[in-house]
Amino acid sequence: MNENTLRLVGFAIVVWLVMTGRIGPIVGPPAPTPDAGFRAAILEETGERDKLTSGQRAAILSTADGSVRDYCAKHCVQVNGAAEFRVVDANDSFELETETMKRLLARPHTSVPWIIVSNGKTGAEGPLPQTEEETLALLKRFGG
Amino acid sequence: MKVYDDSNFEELTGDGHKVHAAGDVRLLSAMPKPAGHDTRLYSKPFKDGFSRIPRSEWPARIAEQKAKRMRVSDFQKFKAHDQNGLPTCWANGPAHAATTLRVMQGLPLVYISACSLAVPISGGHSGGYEGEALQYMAKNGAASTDVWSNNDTSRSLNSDPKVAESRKHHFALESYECESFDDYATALLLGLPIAIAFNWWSHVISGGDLVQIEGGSFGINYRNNWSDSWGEKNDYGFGGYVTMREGKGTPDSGFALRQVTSSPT
Repeated sequence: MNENTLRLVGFAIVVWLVMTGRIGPIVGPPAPTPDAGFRAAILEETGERDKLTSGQRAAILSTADGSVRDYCAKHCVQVNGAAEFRVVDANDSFELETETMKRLLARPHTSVPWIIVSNGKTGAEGPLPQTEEETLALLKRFGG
Repeated sequence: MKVYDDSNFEELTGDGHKVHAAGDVRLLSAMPKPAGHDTRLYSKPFKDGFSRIPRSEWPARIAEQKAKRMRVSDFQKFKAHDQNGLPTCWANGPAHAATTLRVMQGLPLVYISACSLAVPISGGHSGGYEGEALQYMAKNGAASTDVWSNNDTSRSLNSDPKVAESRKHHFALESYECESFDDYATALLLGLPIAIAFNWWSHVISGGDLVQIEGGSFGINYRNNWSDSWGEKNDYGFGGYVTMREGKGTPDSGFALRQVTSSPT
């Protein structure tokens, strides 16, 4: 096996690990977007919500104190009275979003559910972690 | 939690809930699907998009939703729509479901105007089918209540540039037509708000939360369009809720909304 083949195999393994959620989001720097302030989004396919783990469902839908939504409501940049945090279908158009969210939601993804976190200096993007606790830890790492 | 079923549903159709206005049953204005109306022009069959969640899983899922505050009603920290005497329930149900879905997508609270859907279709003074309002929202968008008050039946508003601009931000992008209680239950367990009609009530409302009334018996906690002072309150003090047991509480028609335009305004 030559060097190029080894690199290709290695790359394929990393892609497989990321796409299957076996390793978490890839962490920056650089930040997913350069915009100052903390923002986050979860891209999903709603029709596949039933296939999510309990922790992923909670990360997407829970509004309880200390939940992902609660954390983002308190820490994300506020626009028009709401946090710049979205839970959206990956296939939708975001042309009417704020310019900052447009840039965040335009980031490429290779699977769903997918999370993008950015504070303008650094951040992370990749498969949504399997548990709510892991997702919260990821958010707190960049959102303070 | 008071539960309505075959034994007491007439309490909902009587004057005790002030359903009559000026001698007419104006608040009860749901009409069956018109002949020739094709729901496939704006919605998909629920079974084509989702696998039904088995009933054996419902109790645990309901408990999880309640414990983690994942129910549709957990996102409704705002007042119910109020058709206020107009025969526009068929537009208020979809409008409230879309308003709720915006919040669930993380967007700012923006009330969707029922009359921005009903008036272009019927003038706002006659009954209709909830699918007509949803179809209009899918094809033309809806206006927010800051440019078209929820109960303003002025046709001239439809040519207002502010209304035209608002419509661009409020499309029903994807919805699913449900056929059974299990479809509605699955939609609610997956976090999709619904707009539904009861023929016995001639009324369209929205929902809601799947609930277990007692072992093996389920129902749905719906939200009416008769102001925040009507019905029971949710955990956050907002009103309009009514719980109905499967059977009387099984909608005769309705849709689950999956996505509305992602716009902050």
